[in-house]
Amino acid sequence: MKKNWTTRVAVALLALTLITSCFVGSTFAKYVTRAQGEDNARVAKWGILLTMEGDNMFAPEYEHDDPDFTGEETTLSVRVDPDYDGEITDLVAPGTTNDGFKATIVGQPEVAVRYTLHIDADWTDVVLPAGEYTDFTKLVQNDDGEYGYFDKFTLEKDYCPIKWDITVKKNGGAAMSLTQVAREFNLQLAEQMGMTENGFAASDAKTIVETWGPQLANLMLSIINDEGEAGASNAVFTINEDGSIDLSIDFDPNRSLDFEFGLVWTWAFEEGDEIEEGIYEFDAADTWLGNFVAYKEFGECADYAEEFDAAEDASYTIGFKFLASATQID
Amino acid sequence: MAKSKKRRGWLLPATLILFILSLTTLSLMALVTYAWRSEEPTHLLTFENERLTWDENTEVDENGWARIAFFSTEYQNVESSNEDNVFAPGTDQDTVIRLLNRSDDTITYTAIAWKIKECDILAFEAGFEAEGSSPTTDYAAILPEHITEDQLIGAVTGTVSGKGYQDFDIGWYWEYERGDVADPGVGTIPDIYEYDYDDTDLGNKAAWDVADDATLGFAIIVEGETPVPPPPTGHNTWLWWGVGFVGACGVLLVVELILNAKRKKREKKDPDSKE
Repeated sequence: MKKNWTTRVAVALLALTLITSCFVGSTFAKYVTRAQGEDNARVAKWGILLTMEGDNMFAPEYEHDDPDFTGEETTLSVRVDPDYDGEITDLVAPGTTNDGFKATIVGQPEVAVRYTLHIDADWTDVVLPAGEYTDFTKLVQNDDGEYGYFDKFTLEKDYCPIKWDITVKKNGGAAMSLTQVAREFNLQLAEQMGMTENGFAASDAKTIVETWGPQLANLMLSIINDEGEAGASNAVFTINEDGSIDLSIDFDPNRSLDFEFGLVWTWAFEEGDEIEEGIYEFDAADTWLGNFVAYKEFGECADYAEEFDAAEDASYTIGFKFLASATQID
Repeated sequence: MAKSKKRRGWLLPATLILFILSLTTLSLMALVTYAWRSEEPTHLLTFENERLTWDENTEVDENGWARIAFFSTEYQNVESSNEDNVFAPGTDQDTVIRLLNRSDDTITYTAIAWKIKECDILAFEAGFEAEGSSPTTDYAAILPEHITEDQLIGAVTGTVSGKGYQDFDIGWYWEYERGDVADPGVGTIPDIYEYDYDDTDLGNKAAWDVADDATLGFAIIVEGETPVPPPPTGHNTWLWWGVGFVGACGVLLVVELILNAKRKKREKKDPDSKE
């Protein structure tokens, strides 16, 4: 038989293959090696301080500010009746104004912050609703020759004599008025918003925010971010479900926060157009309100009790509750 | 004749099997590429030549301690006022340390991670994961002197095959709101939660006094075996042996195919012919 050379070569190669595979592994020596590392961090700064003062928003007396006043300097323009024993002794009247409300935020946090000013829904305002009322500015004679307050005046819409303005003071500097900035930026738009020279009525705030909220917010940001330093953004006016109003502003981390938000109220001495010399459009409304208080608090002007009692929606008190908050933004 | 025929009957299948085996052996001797996880690691720890080496972007001090980037100076809505790393309610970070085994050998590792926080009310939580590893209590050899067992957040052990890798995920977080509502919000002013007072105290302390801090750490020990003599990395001596075997088996297969064909032809012509 011929020697089968291919078989022998195949067997030899198979053996070689098996031997080679054994060399993939070989004898080993053991070793040990190690590595380690650490890192640390500290708590980011907060350090925000909020203050709020509003006890002096109204006062029981005010001084004259008429440049043409010639009386004694010590006499007051407005003063509560010393015999008044009611609960509310602070007053408002035509020609009075005050900036007694201030809310401040100070700090330099390392986190973004949302600052919110909240006005509670149960605020009250001086209001004379739309309607017809006795004109107490004109003592006239009727056809029977009697003198009395026979004329009427009509309000086409609710009259809110107190006007409000929001001011912003940065780093202890001069206060900037939102109303003034708005009127300088676009007078037509500002008047469309209902922003008079002295500001806007609280009763109009909801309508103004609903209609012009974003524009007002942008104006607020322009005041705060003057020269781009403050890092403020996302200013939002919000009407909440319960009727309360919020103003919130976001601040970037690491910004020096030193802001004072103020509220200034004004009851203009002469409101509206001059309809006759020295007599202005809303003088009759102001006078009616004054007599209304005299009736309600002192029992005076009782001859017009029926009219005063019927004016259920008229209001002669004003008051607000505020809350301020600073919250870290997530 | 019949015996010879029977022997030759299995020769072709045998040579075919041999050829396949040699091809398989060749692939084992060839270079192997790595398959990576798509996520890039924060730090790369390479094992090669019996040593562990951090990537070039990782600072290592004179004592061999690496500065691992567990924390940052900046997160969304948070920014340090200096070069200090910071953390705050609502911040979190995950760090991946990848152990890359560049050797051809399987290595065994034991790894631990720890957390130190200065203040008990600090709501700083951390976790340690290493997919495919197993928990271990045999970590005494790598526990640093300044770390106690109750500061550990995990201890694992496992193996990494040659040219393979193992990821270690270490993450931390500080929850933004914890506990029950302590004071409901009004309007857009949010609720105040139970632990907001603690968090605010910590933030004020950081602003007006000395900030509390936290530390995360990681340590790993690798054990392995080296062949004697160790083959130089990338040397292709075995590769040529493998090519040689494939060639030889291939030639043998071809020869056997030819001989087989001739035999069949012969048998067809003369069924009674002897070899």
